[in-house]
Amino acid sequence: MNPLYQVGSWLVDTYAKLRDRLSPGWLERNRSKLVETKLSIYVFTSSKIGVAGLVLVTVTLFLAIFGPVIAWEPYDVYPVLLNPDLAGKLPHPPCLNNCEGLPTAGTDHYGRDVLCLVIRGFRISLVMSVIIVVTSATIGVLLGLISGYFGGVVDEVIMRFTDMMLAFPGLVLAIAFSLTLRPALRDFMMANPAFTGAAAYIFALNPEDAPNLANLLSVFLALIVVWWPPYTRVVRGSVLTVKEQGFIEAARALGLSVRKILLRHLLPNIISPLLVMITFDFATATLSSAALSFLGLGPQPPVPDLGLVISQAGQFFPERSWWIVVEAGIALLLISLGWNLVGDALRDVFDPRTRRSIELKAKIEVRP
Amino acid sequence: MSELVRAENLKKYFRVRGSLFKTLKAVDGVSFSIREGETLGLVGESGCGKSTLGRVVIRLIEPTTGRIFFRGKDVTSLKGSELKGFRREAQIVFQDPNTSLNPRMTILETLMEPILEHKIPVGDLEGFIAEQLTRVGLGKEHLHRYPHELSGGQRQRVAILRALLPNPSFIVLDEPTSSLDVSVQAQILNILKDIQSERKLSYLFISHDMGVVKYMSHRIAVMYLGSIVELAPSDTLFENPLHPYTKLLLSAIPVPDPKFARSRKRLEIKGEPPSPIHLPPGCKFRPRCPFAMEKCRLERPQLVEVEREHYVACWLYAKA
Amino acid sequence: MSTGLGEKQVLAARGVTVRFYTYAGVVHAVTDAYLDVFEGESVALVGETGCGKSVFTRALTGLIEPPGRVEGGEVYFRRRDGRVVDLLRLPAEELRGIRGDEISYVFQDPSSALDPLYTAGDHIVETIVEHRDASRREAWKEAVRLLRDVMIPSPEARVKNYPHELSGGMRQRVVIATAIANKPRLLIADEPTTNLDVTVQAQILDLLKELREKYGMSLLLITHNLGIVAETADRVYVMYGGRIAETADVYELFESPQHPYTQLLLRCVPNPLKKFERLESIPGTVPNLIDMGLGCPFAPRCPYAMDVCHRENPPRVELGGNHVVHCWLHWKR
Repeated sequence: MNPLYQVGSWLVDTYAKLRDRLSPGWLERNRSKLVETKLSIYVFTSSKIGVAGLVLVTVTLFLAIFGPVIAWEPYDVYPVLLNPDLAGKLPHPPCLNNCEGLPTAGTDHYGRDVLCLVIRGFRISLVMSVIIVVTSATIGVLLGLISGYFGGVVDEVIMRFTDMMLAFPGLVLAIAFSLTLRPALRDFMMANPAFTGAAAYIFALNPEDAPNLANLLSVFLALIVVWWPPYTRVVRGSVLTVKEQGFIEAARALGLSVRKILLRHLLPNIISPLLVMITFDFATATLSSAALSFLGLGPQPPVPDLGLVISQAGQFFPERSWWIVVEAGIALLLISLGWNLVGDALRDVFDPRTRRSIELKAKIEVRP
Repeated sequence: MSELVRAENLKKYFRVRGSLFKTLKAVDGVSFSIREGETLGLVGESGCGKSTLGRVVIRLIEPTTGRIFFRGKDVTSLKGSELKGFRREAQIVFQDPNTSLNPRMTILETLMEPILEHKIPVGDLEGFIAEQLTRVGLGKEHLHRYPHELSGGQRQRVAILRALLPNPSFIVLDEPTSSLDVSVQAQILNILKDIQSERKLSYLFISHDMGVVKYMSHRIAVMYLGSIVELAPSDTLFENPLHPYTKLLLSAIPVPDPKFARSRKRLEIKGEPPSPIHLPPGCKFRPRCPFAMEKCRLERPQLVEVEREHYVACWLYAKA
Repeated sequence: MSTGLGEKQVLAARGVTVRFYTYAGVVHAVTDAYLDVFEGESVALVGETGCGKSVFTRALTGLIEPPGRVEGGEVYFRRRDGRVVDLLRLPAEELRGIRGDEISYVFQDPSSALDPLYTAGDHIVETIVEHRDASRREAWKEAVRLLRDVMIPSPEARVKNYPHELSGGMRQRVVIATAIANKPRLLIADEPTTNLDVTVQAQILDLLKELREKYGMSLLLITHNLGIVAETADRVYVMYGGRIAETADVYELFESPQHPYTQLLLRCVPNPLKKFERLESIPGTVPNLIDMGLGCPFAPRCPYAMDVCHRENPPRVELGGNHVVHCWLHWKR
């Protein structure tokens, strides 16, 4: 039994004991579910790449949540403006020995500590990718469920519309949407300070910089528009398979409403491939939103968006800004690698065959 | 015993993909009735439409034309809460116990659903279900398990209990024991019989196994290519089969008695069941019938009562 | 029980044990199983799911793959040329030569036994050419002849059909044609008619009987359907929990079964000719072959189980006239 599983198992056991103390008999009632959970943990922790991915994702999440707090420099202050003689030395490469008070990790051409920017960038990256994926998945799942279950004309209409959206090259469409949405969003945000404030808080940015926030939002709205079609396709496919199973027919024979059949019987049985897809998608979304920012369609300086940071370093590349590209690039690499590895391991967790064969080996139990 | 279910000229036609005109006549004008507390057996080979008919009768599949009566009331076009009321009374048990239970729900959750859905007044839900489980030979240790932790026979018992919980008066049993071992099959069949006499239930028992059908049914209907060709009380059907197809079936079934099996002469069976898309003109059984006459090609025979309670659709017996 | 092969005997299996080494534990699929098949006779191997009948018959010709292992026993087979070999100890090459040629299989699902990319003729020709010195031309002619033998109408046309163009019954006939193409000494059919309609099943069973007589081949039929056993078998072996429970001539087995499992099994099957008031059932479930205790595998469910039944596996008791039972009830000290 690997140590990580033991930790996970201990957590599950402790949780079970607590719940049982609160409402006696809870353990007995949920024994099967607990065993399944432990099995999932076991399968996941058996895979080294899964564990590696988990580590990366944990770091990503940690920095995303606490990054803006631990960052030691504000992002919207340009040292070069405060201290004009720095101008000739910027961007300053990383230096290990004391270099006139300049940061060890190097600076960008405004004099800001690159490492600090990158740490802040995690928050923006993560929030962007989560919102894009979750929203697209929700839209996609809804459409996929309806399309797959009802079939006929409804299916045709939804699928042709989806096909249409899929036919456009994603990034190009996103660019087009981003450009057209921007002015409208800008006006909207100027007129609604409460909304602007909330958005700023989530992204850990300055609420007064409304135009830049609007740029940020336009990127991910644009991405959502092109991101949902694959979900619809995949969900519809899964629905078509599961729909033929006996228990769906049994649910209809029971007189259940369509809504209940979709949500209670269909959805839980198609969620596994969906979760894997979502996990992989976090990686893709991170990179795509960074790409849009790199192209200049996202927020403008001083927002510490990773793609923007890399793009700004372009004019000095390579001799005078390689460290900026390396540091921001590695950050993006680690984020997407982490999600990809976790997604890979999750696929094994959910695949019934690998699961069952590992189950026999593991002989998982839950003790009272 | 009064009549509980009546089917009048039920038809279910499916349009064949890729063709505007071809139809698959799965159920082609079927009428029958079932009384309270009675089991009507439905036998036939693959493609005869018995499974489709079973589903049409409880409106799991909507009939193309025809009418269904339940307790004298026309339920063919019911909608909404009235339809739900009918659903509560008319339940179904499916053939494959491995896919008829939601793999993500525990047994308790699966069994709670019919009770909650039809608002059956039950005090202690879990206790009630635990007690009901014993009626089908399971125990409360099965309550919180997932279907994959149970054997095929146990799953089928859960499926049967699920059908019983809304307190129906009519259950369609679609090959409920076909995928089970012989010893388990016997247990399940006995449970079904006990429950039937306890609650005065009516069953439509669909199967391809004649021995099982005879054990379970009071009357038996033989289907061929979407129509009923013979309908009679069980003993009568076996002692005095009239329709050539029934005779063919009975001579083909393997009988677990070596002396009898070796001594009987099997009827020569010609050809194979044709597809329900390209139906022959006239009587559908004519191409394979050893007694076919000219009339059989011209006109399709209807189901007529030849002796008491014994109906046949065959020109050999119809008094013109 | 003699260890050699009688003159008119085709196959003699003795003490065959097969175990599967899985993550969940050791599965004792088959323990000490034996079987005799004589020339021209039809032997049935009966049992429910998990009794080991399929594994046993696959073990006979070395078709057991890891994690399964044949751990004991001999399977004597008299070849066409008269030599007697132990199939479990033959080199792989020779065993492959026997399979498809002198011992053939027919499995349950004809759709998965036929390769959808090859025509009916291709299948038959392939097996002919593999085992005999025949040109493809001759093999094709033979294929048509075989299809006629298995009662497929218009064989000249059908021989060029792909499996999806054939009905279930016809596919099974093609499989049978492929199996008998080289006139095997023994045809092993594992639930050959389970997926077929009753009328088609009757046709296939009659066909097997005719072919047996015409080709002088022996048939080993595996089934759980006692009706089929009554119709086609000369002798019957009943398996339970991986072991042989009883064996007898078919009339004797149905008339006076001696093993409690056989007795109960016969009373579970609805006979459409008799008027049943109540089917009996066997309480409990089939054993999990992993935690096999030391006693008789049927002891947990047996209504006559004694102390010794739970402790020790019953010995083989000869009751005379081909009738053998493994039960402590018949053991006279």
